[in-house]
Amino acid sequence: MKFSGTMIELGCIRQFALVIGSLARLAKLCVLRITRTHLYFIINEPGTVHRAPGLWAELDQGHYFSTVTMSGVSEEHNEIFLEFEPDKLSGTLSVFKSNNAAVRNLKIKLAKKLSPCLTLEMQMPSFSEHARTVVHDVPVLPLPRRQWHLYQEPEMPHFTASIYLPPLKKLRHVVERMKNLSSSLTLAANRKGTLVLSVTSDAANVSTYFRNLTMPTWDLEGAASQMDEEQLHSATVEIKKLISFLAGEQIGPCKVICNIVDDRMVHLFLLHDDVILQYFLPAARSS
Amino acid sequence: MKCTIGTTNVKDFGRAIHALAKVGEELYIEPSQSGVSFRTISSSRSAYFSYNFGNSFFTFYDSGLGGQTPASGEDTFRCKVAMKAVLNIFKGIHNLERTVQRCKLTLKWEEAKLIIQLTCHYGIVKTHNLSFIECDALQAVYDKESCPNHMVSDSRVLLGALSSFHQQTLEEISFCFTPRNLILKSHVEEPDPSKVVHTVVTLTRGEFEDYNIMSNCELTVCLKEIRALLAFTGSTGISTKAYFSGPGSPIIFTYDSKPLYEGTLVLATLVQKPEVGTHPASKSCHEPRASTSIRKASMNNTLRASEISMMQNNLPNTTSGDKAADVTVQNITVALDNSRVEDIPHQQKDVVRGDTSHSEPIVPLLRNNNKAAQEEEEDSDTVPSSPPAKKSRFFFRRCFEATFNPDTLPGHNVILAEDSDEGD
Repeated sequence: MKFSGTMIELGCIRQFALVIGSLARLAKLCVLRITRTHLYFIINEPGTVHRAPGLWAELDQGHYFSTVTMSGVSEEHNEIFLEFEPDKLSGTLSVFKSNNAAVRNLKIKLAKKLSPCLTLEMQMPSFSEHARTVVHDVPVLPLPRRQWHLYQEPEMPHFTASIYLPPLKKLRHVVERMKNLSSSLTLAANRKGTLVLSVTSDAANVSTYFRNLTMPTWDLEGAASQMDEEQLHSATVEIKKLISFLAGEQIGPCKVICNIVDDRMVHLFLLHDDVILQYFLPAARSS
Repeated sequence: MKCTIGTTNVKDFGRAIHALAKVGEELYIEPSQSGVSFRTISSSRSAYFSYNFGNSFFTFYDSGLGGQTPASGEDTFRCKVAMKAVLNIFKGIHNLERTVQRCKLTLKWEEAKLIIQLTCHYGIVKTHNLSFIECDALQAVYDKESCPNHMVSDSRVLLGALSSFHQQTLEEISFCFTPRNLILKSHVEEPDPSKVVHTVVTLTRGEFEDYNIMSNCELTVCLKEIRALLAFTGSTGISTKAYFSGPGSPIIFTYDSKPLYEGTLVLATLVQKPEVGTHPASKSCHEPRASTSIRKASMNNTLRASEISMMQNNLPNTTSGDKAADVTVQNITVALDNSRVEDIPHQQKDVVRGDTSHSEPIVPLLRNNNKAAQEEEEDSDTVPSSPPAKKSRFFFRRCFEATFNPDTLPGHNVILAEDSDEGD
């Protein structure tokens, strides 16, 4: 089992740090799957439908790393699964969150020290001609093959409504206000580009409407088109979880798709040039 | 004592108070002819932090000691106040800089009051009355001249290096000095070193203003105090000098902005563990209790180092002068008669010493140290006696077996010698 990759571009490193940072906000434990071409970050949430992960992030190695060497467990199963605490990894990368951070390169490799760990080697600029080296060892736990099946790519859910979300910043602002009113929020969308966020409390019923949003075209739908275009499809989710997702706006996604499976789950799809993040928010039982 | 700090210096004074507050819970104030010192010591007595503010730091200064420096230590006034109270007054350094025009400090001996008066904009005057307790002098015994190694560092270098250590729980950090590099390592002992992030930062000697290391050495110190120091030097932009000799003996950080003020931080370092160093595997079974005993031992070593410095006849730079230092040595031998002072006449036994007959800050510490030393001795006593116990287990192996039943032995009921009579 071998993995090592070097990042040189500051923009890439910073985005990588942001992705890890948003992982840290979502869960205590995370699984990193390394294949020949991609890195996947997977968060499994207990109790989701069909054992779908809470998060599925896909990073293209070619974009982030200038050089990568990787060899998996065996020829046949050329993959590595590592479990780690994103909080710890994010801490070591927090240097890059500030705007004036400078780094010459960042090398990530899998190493065996006191325990198996991901070693991050950074060459930082210093006051002398020699670079300052900073090495972080983040402990990881390689997962045995019998557990790999738990972290397979999730299937696209059979959603009833699909819509491009308005800018996340705006949405976040609204949702954060709604958080004060209730602990769960209902997302509803129809096929005419309307998105409704609503909360219900004893005293009030608050809804925010976004109209004329664009909708992605999916190949897989067909039969569903017969349905009434005006009809709203909704699912109720926990506000807290939705907010931790909306914090992902820092990654600066180009497009965010929201798929709603009636009363089952909300599937959020963040698309960026080289990162794809999928969030699966299970529907909470609305009271 | 009466002194006034001008508007430009209030910020530095406030920062000094903040730095001191991160180390100790009590602020010791000692005015002298040439200036005032503000000192503190950490609750575990592993760190001593002192600021000397010279005359010129103040726009007005009156020591209140009269003409000359008093000959005996008794005449000097020293007191301590609660750190928290002082810290609250100087909270919000940025506001302080903007609003405070001058700060007046007055020590009223008759009323046992420290009065801090802040004159702010718009004619607002804030007066704080703090009660103080008269106390003994707080003075660490150290000698930076005798340390073979030293380095001078821009505060930004060390601050930048320490910014790589993110762990919230990290308490200690190791400085590994080699002639070419300074390597900073996170020092983790418990509960499981394989579960935490380890960080290593390598700085080349070129990053330092001066770097003079005779031999490799690894010093482990508390991060908290270093951070307190760097918070001050980082904001004022002055460079820090470090003097040290080896593990177990203290590392001394000094910095100054002469003639305004100078700061000194004396930090105990961890004694290297002989067996643990050679067997990295045994590191994982290290218990927290062990680490505290090591820290105790390191304290002892701090003392030992200070004794050495005394023997070399290099008296420490005390503010009260050489004469006063002599007096303190004698006084301390009187004060500590009940603990084992006979062994070490005329020698300092502590990082901290008091110089009146009721040297309250020292005695408990000394006892602790003696206790720790005795415990160590006891431990070492038990080691040679353990093989016989093992031997008996070897020779009488059968008696220790689980299936052993004394009743099955032939002649178990024959009593060869009666039990001796009770009562007599």
